[in-house]
Amino acid sequence: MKIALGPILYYWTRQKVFDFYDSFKKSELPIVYMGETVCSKRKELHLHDWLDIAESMAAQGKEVVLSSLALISARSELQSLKKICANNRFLVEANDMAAVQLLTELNLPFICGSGINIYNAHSLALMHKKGMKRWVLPVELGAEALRGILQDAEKMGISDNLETEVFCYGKLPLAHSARCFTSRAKNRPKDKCELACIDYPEGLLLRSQEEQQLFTINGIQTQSAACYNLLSEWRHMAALGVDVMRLSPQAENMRAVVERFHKVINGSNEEILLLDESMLEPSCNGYWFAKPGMMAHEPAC
Amino acid sequence: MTLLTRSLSKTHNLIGKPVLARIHKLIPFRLKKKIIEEVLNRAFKQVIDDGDLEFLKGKVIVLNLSDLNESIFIGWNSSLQVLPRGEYDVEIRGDLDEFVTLALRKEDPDTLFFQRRICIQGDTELGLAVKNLIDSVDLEELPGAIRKGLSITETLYPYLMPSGAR
Amino acid sequence: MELVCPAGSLPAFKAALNAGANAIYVGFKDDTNARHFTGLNFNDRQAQKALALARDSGVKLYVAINTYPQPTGWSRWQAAVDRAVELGADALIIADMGLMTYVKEKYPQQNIHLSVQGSSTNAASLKFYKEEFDIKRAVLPRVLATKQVEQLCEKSPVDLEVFGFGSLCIMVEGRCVLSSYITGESPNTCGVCSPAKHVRWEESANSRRSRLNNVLIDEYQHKENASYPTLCKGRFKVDENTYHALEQPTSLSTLEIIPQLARMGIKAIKIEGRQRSPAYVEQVVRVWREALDAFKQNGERFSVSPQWLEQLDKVSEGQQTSLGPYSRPWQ
Repeated sequence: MKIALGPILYYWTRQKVFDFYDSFKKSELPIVYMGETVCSKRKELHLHDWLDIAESMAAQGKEVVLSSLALISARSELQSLKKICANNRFLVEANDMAAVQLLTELNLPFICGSGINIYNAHSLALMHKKGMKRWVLPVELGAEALRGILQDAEKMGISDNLETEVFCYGKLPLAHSARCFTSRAKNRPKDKCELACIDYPEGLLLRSQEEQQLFTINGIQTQSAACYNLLSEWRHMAALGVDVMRLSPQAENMRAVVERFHKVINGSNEEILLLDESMLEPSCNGYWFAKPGMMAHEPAC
Repeated sequence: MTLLTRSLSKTHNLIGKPVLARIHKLIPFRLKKKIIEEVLNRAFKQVIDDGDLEFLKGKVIVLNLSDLNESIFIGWNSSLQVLPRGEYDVEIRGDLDEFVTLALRKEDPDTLFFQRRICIQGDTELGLAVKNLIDSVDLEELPGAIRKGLSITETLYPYLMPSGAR
Repeated sequence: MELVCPAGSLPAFKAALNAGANAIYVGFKDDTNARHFTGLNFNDRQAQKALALARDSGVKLYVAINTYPQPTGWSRWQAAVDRAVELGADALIIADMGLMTYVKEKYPQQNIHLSVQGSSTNAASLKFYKEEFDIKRAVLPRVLATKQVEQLCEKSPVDLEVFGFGSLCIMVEGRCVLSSYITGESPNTCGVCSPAKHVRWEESANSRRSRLNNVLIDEYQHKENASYPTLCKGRFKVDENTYHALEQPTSLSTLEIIPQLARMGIKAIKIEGRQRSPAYVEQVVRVWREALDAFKQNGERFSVSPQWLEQLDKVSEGQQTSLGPYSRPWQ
């Protein structure tokens, strides 16, 4: 089982991004995804900055993947995507079918992010045929669906050179819109958002009128308010055939979170708590158990 | 709105409905039950034949005609049945006028609900299923007597309930 | 432009026919379509009847099989495709690429339309579906601005259909799981959004509250219009403000840009609402028929009649309509 650091979903300052990746250079983290996946207006870093960081991480022996935008609707977005796909150096994670098409045209292998709707082995087989070498399970699917998909994939003979990844830690990306909810919260039109997201390095909390924490607003993306956490499920995942656990960056203490996962998975002998204060609370895991995503489900042992 | 419409509508509200409410109370439950069941099972015959009423098994729906102060409890056991008062799963409440409006398909039920002219409490899914069921009844395929009743009501509708087309 | 109308039942189908639909889309009575509600949709007998009616009046019949099959349900989706092809549907509206693979292999002649749930918003993505499955048409998600639709019309390798009227999804369709986060069921997996079995209405003397799996979605004061507790249309708190943090309950209506859509080359206009009553279908389709006919007659001198707007507002969620993504300030 490998650990992957997912792309930063929030809008951080340039310095914060560089510092963030610096802090992982010496870590044992094997896979790093990076790049802007939420909003094309976020330009603290340009593609060449991402490529610089990618080079420096690769120099430390890490597998680097460039993640691409989740919703491609403007012509300019398609142009930027083309540049990412043609970077000639790093693998690309497709988060829109546009990326799948462009990468296929270039005859390049690729990774499908959780936003590419692969709900069954027939879709998996098609993407595999097109050059997909790893896929991320859609966040709303759980263990039973995954078991079924992988069993079918095996019968279809496509499971050998295909890796499976699961979103295992962080606020869940739940929806994307053309509309920006951060600028709406600031009472600004999207055209004049003044890049308000930069003030919310962990997003903006949305509560019910009864103060129940529901969602996190992150520009055009809506995330869960609770932090998805499947650390306790890692053995089950490994048994199912999961190859990679994705941890989605949070603004503080991410290094500690990665270490915690690393220690648990690599079974160091010391007594290891599944939770510590560096992990975000409240946490949830419902999706994995085929329950509402927001639920914190205690599996019956 | 013409004078005639206004006066008919007024008569309907001031005299018609109270009288209806009174008559309603005078009819013995057993007779009422018989009449309503007869109408319902005929109206929903096709739906029943299609087996689409099975989801009602063991459920009780209450139609609460609030202005007549009358509740009709309906259940399903191989046929639609009017039940004595008791526990129920969902209550659909509104004035008689609103139910007539719905029966004639003059208005979209969602519209009435959003405007709060109809209320649904309890098992919302069951309430919605009942709505869908009523929507799926083909008025053209109804037995003659029921169709005739509806058509008379339809003729009177604009006079009695000018507000129905709000 | 073709007027594509919804029908969740035979009476709604007839209403759409009578009011002037060019094509009508339906779903079967199971979770293979994105309006999977009890008592709604078509069994085989009703589908046969709908087809006969459609053929009699030269109207097209489309079957939506637009949810995402998981391994345990695969055979049900396959069966839905088989039934729709056997029925003689003019097109299947599909979202899942696995299912499209099945259609292409088994019924290479069958027309496929990419469902809005397939979430295609750009030329490269449309090209993928065209090359892979030879789709004839794609339904665009309700998130694109007018200019983006226009650009897409220039580049698209397939015919495009846009939503003209109905409930407004503000999230990209096919990529929103807010509903399953709260209830466990989403449009992709179960063909439902904010499903009724998790909805509870609480009526009290002064207010009406709507809950979804116990989560308070909104509270309406006396006389205030209510709306269905769809998650993206609730009133929530952000910082200390309570407001429609994602979207107001409103419906999309694009009557006023009919000339623009036609000029761009949009081939079909879709009316949303298979879950709505025959009365809704009748009212909305009639207005749109009149509007499209008026445009045909008057061309660029086309103007929107106030009566149409009044009719549409009445059946709209929140009793108001907006141009949604087609108006710049919306985004």
